Amino acid sequence: MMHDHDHDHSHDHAHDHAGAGHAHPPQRDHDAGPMGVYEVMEEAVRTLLIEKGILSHAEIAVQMDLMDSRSAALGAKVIARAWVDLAFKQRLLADCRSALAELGIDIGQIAEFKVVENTPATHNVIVCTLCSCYPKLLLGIPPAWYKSLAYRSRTVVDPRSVLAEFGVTVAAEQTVRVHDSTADLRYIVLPMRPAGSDHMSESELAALVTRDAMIGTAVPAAVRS
Amino acid sequence: MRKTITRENAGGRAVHDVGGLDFGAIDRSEHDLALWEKRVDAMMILLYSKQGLWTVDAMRRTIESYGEQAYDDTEYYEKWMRAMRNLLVEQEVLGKAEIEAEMAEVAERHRKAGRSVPVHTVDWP
Amino acid sequence: MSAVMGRYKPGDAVRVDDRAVAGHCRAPWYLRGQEGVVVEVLGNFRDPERLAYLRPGLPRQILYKVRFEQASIWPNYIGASSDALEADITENWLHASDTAKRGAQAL
Repeated sequence: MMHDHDHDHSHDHAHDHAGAGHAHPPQRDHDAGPMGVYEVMEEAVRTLLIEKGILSHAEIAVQMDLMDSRSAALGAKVIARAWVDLAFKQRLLADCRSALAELGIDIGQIAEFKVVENTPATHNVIVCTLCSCYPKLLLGIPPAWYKSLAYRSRTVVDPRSVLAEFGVTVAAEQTVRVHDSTADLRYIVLPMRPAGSDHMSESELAALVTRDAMIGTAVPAAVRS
Repeated sequence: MRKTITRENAGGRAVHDVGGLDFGAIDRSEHDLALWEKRVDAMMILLYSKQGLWTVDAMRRTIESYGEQAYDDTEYYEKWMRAMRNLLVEQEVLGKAEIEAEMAEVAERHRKAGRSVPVHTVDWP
Repeated sequence: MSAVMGRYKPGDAVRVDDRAVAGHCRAPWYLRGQEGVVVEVLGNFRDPERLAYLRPGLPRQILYKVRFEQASIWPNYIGASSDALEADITENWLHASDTAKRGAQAL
């Protein structure tokens, strides 16, 4: 079992009691709580790299800000565009790099991206059994469960029960297609546009697209008028 | 945990290669990254883009070498941090001894400031 | 990306090699020895098994998106018979399948 959460448990509870209105528990309190050995290692290595002029405080800060600015909102924008523009959707499915470039998104050189489309017949879900490959650029930092041994190991062998745990029921006559990101491609699911969303604008549609819908562990809810 | 599925041939299964194994229920709770984890992410990216220190596969190879217990019992950014340390030494950017010395200094400083800091360190590589 | 010509083309039945490996490798254990169908030629990528040791990753490997029937991978699979798993496998891990029975059915 991977202990992704252990360090934060005490803070979760403190946070709950305080009743603060934040979606996630806060970061660890760095001035008071026990320090992990890897946190010590991080500070030591950072100190040495800065001393030797290999990295600077400023560029680390800039890179951290850049990462913080990345979230599933960018992925949602791409999905909403695909929902309203059929030609764009076809380009997105055929050549993700160029289609994203049309929206001003440069995916860089580390990996390629690929979009897989949900249809009434097929539900797609993404996993990486060998590590935790994830389209960070479009979805931000992955949730802990995506990186957990439990999700990585079980999604390939028992996807329907994993999906059910996430609240996604796939009918017996539908196909579940699991994508194991084993190489240089990062996958993102193009969910089906929800029923009742015909009147919505592109930006309203983007608000319906969650991170998990783009992993395949959720589907956008139908819109009630 | 790590209940194995058996199959003839198929070669050996490495520690990170977990598809089809059983690690129990998925813990879906979420938390924001700690500041040190964000720093690890940022430094790792910079060491790639600025220094060409690693490739995605070199980092994976490093993480895959930790052994089963260390692999299973460490968090994501702990794995990254150990990989960064090992790659910096492997590429002769930093030395083992200076990292160990600096870690001891960092630990001592925080201990003096009243924080609880573990006395154990992390094995090489 | 599909302009790349490899040994296999979409619809071809393939089998993943089942060799043991000592170093870094991206062919997952649970797929070794399994048979599937090529659904897409993804391109020409540097070889991860060499990149891992900070070599240039040459020669490049053609990468295929291969579709496997879940029921054929897992003996006790629970789900629809059409349920599938896709993984990206480099050409040096694939063989032409001698039992081409699955053919392009899954396509």
